[in-house]
Amino acid sequence: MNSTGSTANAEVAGGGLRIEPGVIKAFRGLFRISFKSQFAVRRLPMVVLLAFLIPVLAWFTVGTGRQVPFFHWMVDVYLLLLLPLYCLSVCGALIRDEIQSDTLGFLTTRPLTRVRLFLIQFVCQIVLLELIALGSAVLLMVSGGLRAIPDLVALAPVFLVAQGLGVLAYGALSSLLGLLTQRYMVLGIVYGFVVEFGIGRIPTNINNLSVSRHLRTLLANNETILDLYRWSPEGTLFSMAILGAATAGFLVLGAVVFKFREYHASDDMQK
Amino acid sequence: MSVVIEARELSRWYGVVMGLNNVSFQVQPGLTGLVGPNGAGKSTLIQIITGQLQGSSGDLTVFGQRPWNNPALLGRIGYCPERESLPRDLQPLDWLRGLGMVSGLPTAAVRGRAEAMLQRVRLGREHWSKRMGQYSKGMRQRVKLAQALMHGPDLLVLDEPMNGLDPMGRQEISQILKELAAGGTTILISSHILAELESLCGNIIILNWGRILASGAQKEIRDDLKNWSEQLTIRCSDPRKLARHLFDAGVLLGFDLDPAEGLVHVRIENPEQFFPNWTRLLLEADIAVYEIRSQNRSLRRIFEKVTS
Repeated sequence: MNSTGSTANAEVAGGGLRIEPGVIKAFRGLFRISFKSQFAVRRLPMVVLLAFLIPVLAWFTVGTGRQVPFFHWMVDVYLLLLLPLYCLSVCGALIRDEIQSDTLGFLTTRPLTRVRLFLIQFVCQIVLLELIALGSAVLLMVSGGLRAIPDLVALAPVFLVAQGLGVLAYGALSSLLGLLTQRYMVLGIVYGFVVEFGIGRIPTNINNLSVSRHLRTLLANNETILDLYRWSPEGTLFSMAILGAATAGFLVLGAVVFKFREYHASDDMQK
Repeated sequence: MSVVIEARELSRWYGVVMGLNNVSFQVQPGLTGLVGPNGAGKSTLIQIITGQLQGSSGDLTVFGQRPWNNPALLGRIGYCPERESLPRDLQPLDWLRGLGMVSGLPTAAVRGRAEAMLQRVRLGREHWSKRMGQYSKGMRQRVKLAQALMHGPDLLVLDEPMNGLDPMGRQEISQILKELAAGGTTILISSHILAELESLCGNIIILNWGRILASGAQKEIRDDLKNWSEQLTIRCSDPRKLARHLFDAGVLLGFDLDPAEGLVHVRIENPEQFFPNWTRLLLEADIAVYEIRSQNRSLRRIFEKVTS
C-alpha cells in the first residue's frame, strides 16, 4: 500500500493498516454480507413462510396418529420435492444474482482467487440453507408430534442426515447450474424430471446418477420408511459416499467454470 | 516516470463485435481521464484493467502484472463500477465491513475503517442506518467510492463516478480525488462530464469505437489541435458574399450557409496564417459583420472533434 502521502491520503489509503487477505477472513466477510442479505427484513417473510409452510399444511391435512400420510408429506413433498426446489432457487442465485444485479465486480476485484471466492460463497450460502432446512425439519417433527404421529423420534436422525447431505448435493448442483445459465430454474426443473424422476427410478445401476435415489437408500434405514416405501437400505455407505462425491464434483465443475468464464454486465454475456 | 498501466496492441471481441481495437497506451501516476461516448469501449477497458475480463489479443499490465486472476495485484486496485447497483437490503457499514474483511483488513480495525471511509466520501451519519435500497443515486455513488477506498489501493479505477451527484457533491468528490492523487494514488476516471475531467485530469485518453483517438497530457492534445482546422461562425449582412470572398482567397477548407439566420460557418485551412490576415479579408469583402463566434479549445471541443 502507499507508504507516502499527505495526511488526508494516509487516512484514505490504509492509514497504517496491515492488509493481509486470507480465506478465514474472507469467509467471515462474505458470511456477514450473505447473512444480512438472507435475513433482511424484506426477505424474512419468505424464509418464515418456507420454514412453516409444510409443517402447517401437514398439521392441517393429516389426522391425529395417521402415520402414512404424514410421512408422505415429510418424504415425498418436503424432502424430495420442495427442498431441492428451494436449494435450486437459493444456490442457483449464488453468483447469478450478483451478475444480474451487476454487483459481481465488487467481489471479483477483491484479492481472492475466483475459485476461493466461489467456494467461500457456496459455504456461506449452504450454512444458512442447512440452518433454514434444519429449522423447517424440526418444525415438521413438532407438527407431527402435535398430531401424535408414531416413530417420529426414530426417523429423526436418518431424516436429518439425509436432509443434510441432500442440501449439500442439491446446493452444489444448483450453484453449477446458476453459473451456466440465467435460466437455471428451468434447467434445474428439467434435470429433476429427467434424472431424479426418470433415470432415478430405473431399476438398474444407472439410477446411481440420481441424488434422490441415494436419499431414498439412506431413509430406508428407518423401519417405518422401509415398510411404507419398500426401498432398499443396501449400500448406505456407498450412497453417502456418492452424495459426498457428487457435492465435491459439482463444486469442482462450478469452480472451474467460474475461474475461466468471464461474466460481463451486458445482456449478451449473461446468457 | 514509472508506468502504472500499459496496454500494447490490446483488442477485445465480444463474438463478432469489437469492444477494443488494437489499443496501446500508458497511464502514468496521477489523475488520468478516460473519455468517450457510450459504446466507445471505456467499460471494457476498465474491466480488463480490474481483472474482470481478459483481452482477446495483445497485452495489458498493471504495475507490470496481468490483472486476470491475480489476487495479489487486485489487492492494490480499488474499483468503482458504473452502475449504481448495490445490495439493496444491506446497510452501508455492514457491506463495507464485509468487503473490507474480504480485502484482508484486520477484523478489529474494519469497522473503524468503514466509518472513516463513509465520512471521507461525506455520506451523512444519519443515512448509515438506512438500507442501501433506499439511497438516492448520489448516495449510492458515495458508498461505491467508499468501498473502493476501503483497502487503500495504489490504483483507483472509477467508472463514471460523478453520475447522479449534485454540483456540490461533484466538487467534494473531485476534491477527494485530487487529495488522493496528491498522496500518490494513481486514479483512472471515466466520465461523460468532460468539463470536470478537464479541471481534474492532467492526462486524457480519448476513446471511440474501441480505438484510442488521442492520449497524453491535455496540453499536448491542445497543441496538436492547433494544426487542425478551426471553425468560425459569422453573422453578417451577406453571408453568401463573404463565403465566396473567403473561398476565393483560398483560406477555407469549406463552409456552410444559413441565409435565414444570416450565418456562415467557415472551416479554416490554416489558422496560423489565416488570423493575421483576417481583418483585411473582412474589409475586402465589403459587408457588415454583426457577430463572430469561435469554437474554443475546451476538452469538450477536442472530444467532439476527434469523435466526430
